[in-house]
Amino acid sequence: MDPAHIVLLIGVTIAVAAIAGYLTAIALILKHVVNRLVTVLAAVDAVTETAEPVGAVIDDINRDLAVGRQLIENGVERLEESRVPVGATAEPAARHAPDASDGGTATAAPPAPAAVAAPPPAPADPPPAPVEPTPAPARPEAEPPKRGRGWWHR
Amino acid sequence: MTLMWIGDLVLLLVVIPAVVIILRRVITPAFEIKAYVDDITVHGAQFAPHLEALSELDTTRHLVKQVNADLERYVRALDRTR
Repeated sequence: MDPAHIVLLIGVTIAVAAIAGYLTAIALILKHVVNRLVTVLAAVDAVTETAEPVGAVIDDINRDLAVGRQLIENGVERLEESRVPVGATAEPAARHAPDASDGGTATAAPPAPAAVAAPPPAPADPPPAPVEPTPAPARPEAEPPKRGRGWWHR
Repeated sequence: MTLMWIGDLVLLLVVIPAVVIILRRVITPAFEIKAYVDDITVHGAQFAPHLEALSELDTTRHLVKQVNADLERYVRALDRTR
């Protein structure tokens, strides 16, 4: 057999082996990919089945919440129309004031709300001007206090 | 015979390297696809546990309905006190 033929056979064998090896590797990779894709597809299917009714449920919840909000708003509006805010009148204090004829002690009677609740200062009032310390004017005719008597007796 | 040797040289120096280069250019994207698929599988597996709370939405719906009923009773009672 000619050496050239042997080299040719060796070359062809190497080429075929390389092609076979690469194709086998590619086939294994594709098989792995297919297996993983099947797994992912099953997971996506499960997620789709889980999330399918969520839209209707959320719509229902939103509708119920809107109804509840409307109920609260209507109730608050009716309440505001019919009632004066608590604390705006003197009724509660007058109602709870002790009466001496009932055996209560008149001394414990709280003062009238108008007397207790001093009117707040008007917001338009200007703030008091800062007082600058001024030296006291000298009084030449005043005698200096005598020691021993105490200036606080005057 | 000389042509035979030339053919051998061409096979060994040109054809086989060309085959290897072409097959490498095919197998490199295949490996990348494999890595991406593994990544998708790892992160896709975490998808389901995050959606377990969706089953609680049914409970939320029932609770909201109960709250609405109680709220209606409360507003009605409030109307009676006026």
